[in-house]
Amino acid sequence: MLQKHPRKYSLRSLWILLLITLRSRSVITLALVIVIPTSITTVLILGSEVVQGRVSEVSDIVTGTTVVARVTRTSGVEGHIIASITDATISNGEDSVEASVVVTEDVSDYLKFFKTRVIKSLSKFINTSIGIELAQTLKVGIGDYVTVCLSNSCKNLIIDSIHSCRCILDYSLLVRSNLSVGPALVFRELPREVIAFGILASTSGDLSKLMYTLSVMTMISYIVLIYLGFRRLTSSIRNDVFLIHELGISLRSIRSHFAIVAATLSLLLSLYGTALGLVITHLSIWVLRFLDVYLPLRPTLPYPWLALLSLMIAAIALPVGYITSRSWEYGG
Amino acid sequence: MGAEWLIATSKCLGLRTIAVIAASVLLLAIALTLISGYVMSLYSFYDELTLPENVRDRAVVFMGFSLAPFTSLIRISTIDSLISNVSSLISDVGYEVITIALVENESVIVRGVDKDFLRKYVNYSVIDGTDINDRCYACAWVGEGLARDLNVGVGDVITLHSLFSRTPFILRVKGILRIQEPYDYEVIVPYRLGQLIRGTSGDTASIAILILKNGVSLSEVLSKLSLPSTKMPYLLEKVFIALKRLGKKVEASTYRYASEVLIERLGIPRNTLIAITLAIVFIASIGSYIVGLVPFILNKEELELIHEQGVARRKIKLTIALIGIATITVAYLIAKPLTYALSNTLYASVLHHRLSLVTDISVDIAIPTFISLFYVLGLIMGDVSED
Repeated sequence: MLQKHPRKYSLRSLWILLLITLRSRSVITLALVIVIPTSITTVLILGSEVVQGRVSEVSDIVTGTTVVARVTRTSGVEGHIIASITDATISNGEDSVEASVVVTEDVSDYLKFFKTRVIKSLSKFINTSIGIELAQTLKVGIGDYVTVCLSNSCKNLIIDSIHSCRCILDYSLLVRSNLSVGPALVFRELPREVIAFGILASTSGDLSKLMYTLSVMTMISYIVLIYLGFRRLTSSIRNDVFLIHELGISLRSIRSHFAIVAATLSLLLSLYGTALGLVITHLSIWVLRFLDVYLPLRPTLPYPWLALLSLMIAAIALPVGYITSRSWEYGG
Repeated sequence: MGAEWLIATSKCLGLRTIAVIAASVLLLAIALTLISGYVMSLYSFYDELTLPENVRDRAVVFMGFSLAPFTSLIRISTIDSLISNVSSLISDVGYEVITIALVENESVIVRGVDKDFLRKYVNYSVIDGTDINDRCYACAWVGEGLARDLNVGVGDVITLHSLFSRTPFILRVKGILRIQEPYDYEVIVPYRLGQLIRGTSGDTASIAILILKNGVSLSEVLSKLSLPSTKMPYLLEKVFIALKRLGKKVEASTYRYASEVLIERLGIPRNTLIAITLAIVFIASIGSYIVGLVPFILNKEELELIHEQGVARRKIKLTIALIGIATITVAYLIAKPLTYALSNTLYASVLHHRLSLVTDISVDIAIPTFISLFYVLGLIMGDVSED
């Protein structure tokens, strides 16, 4: 009968093997060594999701204002301004500082773009404008000369404007010229949350990377224990396996079926562990309320990660199940 | 019979069983030490950023009372008036402005420093370029570690975007510094430039570092400042003073850890964090239950034999327990230095600052204790004649 219907008996033995395994007391031990690391791993991963969520929240708080940012893309960028900027030694003959020299085609446009106030100016047409802090440091004013030294050459410029913005431009010298002192830099107005998000995302990315590393370490630390769990399971169902073998199914087939059972069982247990980790995380968020910490987030597990974790456990269980069932062939 | 049962049971176990127990415990202990160590290190991370390594045991730090790190400011005039009573105990005061900025699309810490204070109290050397110049408003100096991470060198131009300034900062890297923590992974700028990046000016700073004179204790300074040190029953090694403005008055509170200033605003004191860490260690140790079953898995027949020869189950289990606990202890002692070595290769960092493992004595005791506890539980539940 077995020779006539090998597939039918094969499936039946697979099913019986699954039932035997589930009924065995040792499946609880196996459950422990799979559920615990998967739930801890899930909590760690969800922890990083919570951090990422906070990043989005915090960066939303800073909406409504804009900043000027340097952009690298020059084509198709509307509402931008271009300048070349370098550091130079600026002196009044007696005293000197190192500060930025901004060279641009239209100083007035540049000041307007950066919302910088012109405090004093000889005319509307500005050739050289000095920041108020720089002017005070060098003790210069409208009509005074400053010497600007770049690399090996120096040039005298007459100041015809003083500007103020409570920003770095207060320590800068703006010069009207078509010449360039360095690569052309493009500046554009962007919503402030772009910068906020950039800063926070970079930081939270570091924390997420750490959480993922720790979750991998947790899984690795349990590999030996998972092996031992399967050893115990195969030992406990040995007698039932020999009964199936006496019905005519080869030990080799039984071992292959057990590997499939092991993978299936591990997949189910890892899903259970993941669900448990999700419950623990949500419970922890709820408990934090009593410590006056309110997190409106309800993190959900990223599905690619869920699939990866479960498949990884199943992939480990498949060969481990097959290897540990070797003991049946030795009668031990 | 004497101790013959002890020897007989020990011989049954064999090297393979002990090796399996040791390997399982080693891997588990490494994972638990890493998890607890990094969780604790995140808590002390802010401490390391606010106190220079050199002066950690003889400095008091004043900082603002804020929810988010690197956002609080203090008034220099407030500090001056607060410390006027203790001027005889202090040798120096330094101010720094600390903020996080986006530098070439990476979040880094930017620190505005007083060059003279840095020279005096922080060990550093200029390995490339020139030394810090207070009169440069377009210059930046980069710690060696960060320069490597960002792949920048002397002469490079970096763009810095700050949350507190509408305009970007175009700065030239003037020097690479070989400098102690926490500066080695930061962008260092002159103090005034640091204020501009932080969006502040004049009388403000992020932190004030008071350097105490030789022989002056922290408790002495706190008591002269009329600040309670009763909150810290431990031997005072370092202290942070957080200033909170309440109307016209400034209230000062003392803390042992900088992060407590932030975390307490969230209502999570350090002890709660330790309790959570211990809970994680406890749950993760449950897997060692199966380690207790290892002898009954690998040496079932040998143990059945000596049991049939007259050795009681109780004595067999006692022997296995003693050997197991000894193995667990040795494995944990080996795991600890291995974990530290592994953490150096894992390269965990926040804001480019390397996270180093921080342990607490309670966690150090808890790990082998919990593992042993569940090992013994597994041993009790297992049986020599079990199928």
